[in-house]
Amino acid sequence: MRATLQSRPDFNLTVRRTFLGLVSAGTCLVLSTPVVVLHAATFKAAVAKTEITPPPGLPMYGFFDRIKDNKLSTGTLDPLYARVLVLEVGERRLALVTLDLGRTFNESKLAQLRQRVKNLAGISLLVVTASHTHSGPNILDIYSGDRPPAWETNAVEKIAEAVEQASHHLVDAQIGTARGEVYIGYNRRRVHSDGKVTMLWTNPDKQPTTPVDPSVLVIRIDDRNGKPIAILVSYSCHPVVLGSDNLRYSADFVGTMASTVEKAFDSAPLCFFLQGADGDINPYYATTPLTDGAIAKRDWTGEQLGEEVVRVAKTVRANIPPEPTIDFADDVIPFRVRWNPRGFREGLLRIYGQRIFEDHADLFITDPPPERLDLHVTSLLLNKQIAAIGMPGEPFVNFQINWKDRCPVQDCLVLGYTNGYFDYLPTIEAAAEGGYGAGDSNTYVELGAGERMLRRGLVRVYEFLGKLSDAPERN
Amino acid sequence: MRPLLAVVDSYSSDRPQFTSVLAMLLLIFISGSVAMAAALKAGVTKVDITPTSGVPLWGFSDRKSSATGTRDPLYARILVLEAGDKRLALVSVDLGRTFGPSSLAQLRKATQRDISVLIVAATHTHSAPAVQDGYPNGPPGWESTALQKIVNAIEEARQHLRKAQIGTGYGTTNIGHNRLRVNPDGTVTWFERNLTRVPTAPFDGTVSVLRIDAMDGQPIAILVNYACHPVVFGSDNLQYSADFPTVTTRTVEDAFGGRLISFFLQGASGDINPYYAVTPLEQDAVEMRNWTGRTLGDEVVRIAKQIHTRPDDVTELQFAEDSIHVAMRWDPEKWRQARIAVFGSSDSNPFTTKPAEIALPVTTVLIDKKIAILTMPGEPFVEYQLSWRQRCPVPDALFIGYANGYNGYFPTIRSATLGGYGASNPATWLEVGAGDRMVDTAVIRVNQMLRRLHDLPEDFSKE
Repeated sequence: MRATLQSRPDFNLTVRRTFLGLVSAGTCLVLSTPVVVLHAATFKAAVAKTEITPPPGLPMYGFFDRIKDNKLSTGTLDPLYARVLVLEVGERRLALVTLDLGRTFNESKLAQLRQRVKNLAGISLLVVTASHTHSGPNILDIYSGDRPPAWETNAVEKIAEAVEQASHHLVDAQIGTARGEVYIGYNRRRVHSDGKVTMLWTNPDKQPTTPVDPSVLVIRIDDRNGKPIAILVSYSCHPVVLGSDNLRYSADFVGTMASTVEKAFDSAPLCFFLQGADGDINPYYATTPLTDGAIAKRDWTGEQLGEEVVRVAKTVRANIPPEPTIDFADDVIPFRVRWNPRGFREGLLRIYGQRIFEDHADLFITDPPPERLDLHVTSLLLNKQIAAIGMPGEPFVNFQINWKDRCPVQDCLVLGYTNGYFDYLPTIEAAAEGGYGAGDSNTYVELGAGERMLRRGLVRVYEFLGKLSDAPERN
Repeated sequence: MRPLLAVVDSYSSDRPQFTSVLAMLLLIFISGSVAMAAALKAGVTKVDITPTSGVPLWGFSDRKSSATGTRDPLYARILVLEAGDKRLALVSVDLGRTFGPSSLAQLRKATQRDISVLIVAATHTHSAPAVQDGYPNGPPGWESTALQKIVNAIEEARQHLRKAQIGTGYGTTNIGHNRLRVNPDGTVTWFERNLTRVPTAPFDGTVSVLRIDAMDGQPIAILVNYACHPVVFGSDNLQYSADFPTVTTRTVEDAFGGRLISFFLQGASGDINPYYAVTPLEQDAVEMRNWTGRTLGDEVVRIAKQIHTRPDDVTELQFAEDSIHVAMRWDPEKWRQARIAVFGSSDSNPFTTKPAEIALPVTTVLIDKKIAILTMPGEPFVEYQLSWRQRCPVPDALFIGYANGYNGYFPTIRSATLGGYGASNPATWLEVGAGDRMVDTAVIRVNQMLRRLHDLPEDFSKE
């Protein structure tokens, strides 16, 4: 655990209001633009890091064959961490938690964490996002006997404590961004001229593919002396260099990337990996067998990204935001299940057997299966300059490209695997083409869900910017 | 130009139980008919629905009085298409908007025995009688008469179905412009008239033509799909007119010896005006109307003559009717006050009954696996038409606005933030992004019809 150690200045007086959302939702929390700012609030930040590596002997996340063959973890290749960034502006505190895990915890655990950090640290805005490493412990929405594993309960408590710790060490901060570009991955769905899709599961020859988004967004948060506190890295690529033969916990290339960045800055900042819309993006050396030098490939991948992040981060000029703000919305959108729910459940059982419910399809273990799924869409606007949309699943990369194209601020990012997990979120067009995560049983949320979530985020950002209101013009 | 707002006083929502407040898409019906051997059949009719004078006119809130007469008659044109046991009736009316829900339901009920899917689309002329969603004292006589005439005309077209073949063609003409001019500082200026024809964006000059021939190659119908407000005539015109589409359709019909019926299918014209919009009558409005209609018509004729129809290998009529539930955009009281401020106090009362959520009917049709049609019940901005054409999985993608209902303007999300008429004033009132959802829905439907989307995952069939 690490935290900056400076005393916390008093808050400046800020008058705010809670903004009523213009977009209806099942439930939503919207906190937005100050109406009257008597004194500009101060932008504060602090970080913390806590290890959440479970003990060996647990099922691992991400590869069904590993679960089906009952291959449990045997140890730790590199530790798994939860990293915590707490930001404060006036009376508003946001905690961003990045996890070296395959997915976030289930809704019950997330709700528990929300309540804990609210009580412990006055956090009203919580964003929990996973890196999607496939070398972490398995996480389910529904556990047998409704008993989550002990490591998960412990991890949630450790995270709450880390958030509390960070919130005690907030310092005046400044922030800046820059973009770079690096190619460490490719689009694993190959759409042929006849419309058929085949999966390119690994691409060591680095054949060009499309669509991909090689851009790296780097957000650097410094203290007022220019010393970096946090470096946030937004990039889209499945952390699956290590394949199902690996039985040791690892953050995959993300761990290497973070180490590369932190070392380059003399371990002063914490480096956060923000997984983007990587639903169809693999690293070139995906699922390299351990016997074929998987560790070296993982390190190559992480170092490539890390070195570009270092280069970009060094060009960032962090500034004190003149009018700092944190705008946030947590919308819950109910969607139908894409498939006939009963037919889907029966098909899963028939083809994959009961153990599929220990993998990604655990939501459908119940009989009757759910017909509706409630997805959290997280919209965040920082200082009116940095916009993030969080989607609870594995969005395809075209959503990120579309988000960047449509988002009204320059620095915008997609957070995949955020505040929930509902498997793959393909675009409508990709779903019609088919393939893994697009037309198979790895995706089950209503078609068009990703498009709607993206639009919800877009509308929220416009609301935060004051460009959409609940009153028409009079012209 | 200040179009009147639509009146909604009766409304029903078939919201599924689990939707709560949130809008969702509800499949009402998706159906297809494959007739590998059977031919496509088509029948057309045309009926005069011009009211008598004295009826209030639609489209401009500053009009001083009711209609005084007829400049050119208003028609309902009917195309019935049959493939196997499915029949589509496309009714194009020279009106500002389609009839209200109860009148449309009446039309459906009267034709449901023979017609599988009904599309009623308005050209959006602003020189036609006012139409409302509901009327305190029942529908006006002219509307009841028109409805009965349309029912009869549909039946007549059905009775005259004959084997047909279909083809499409495309061209470009510029008769209008985008009337919401975005200035460098982000403000929006109302750019109503564009006499010097300066280029604007976004704009879609595409003319889509669908030609239906009898088996001897003689045209039965020529459908014109183009996006432009029929508002060459302004509020000083008190005579009924179909505006420029009447000249377009006449130009086309004349060019083919008057042996066919030409249909004008309004596209996504929510932000598109003709260059010579609202030309005062004393400034040669009639001539400007004629120029506009003739320019479009000439291009249609050129395109139509190049279309060589032939029987399709597969004759199939597929359609889906979806109901998309969307929320209201505005705070009700703020919307009411803005309506009074913009449209006047007389306009305020009917809107107090607007519900919190509205069901938008979206019809998607796929003809012979190659020609797709999307309809929207209101005034979509032109970018939706461009988006539909880009995303539709078949090359022929027609877009019909003002169809099967009227729910004000559908601006894009970005347009809504920029502001201006129809983008953020009280003439638009539905959840921002409603138009995007309708396009999404149609893209999904066409993919389903093409069997690119299925009910169960693809890995389930690889056992």
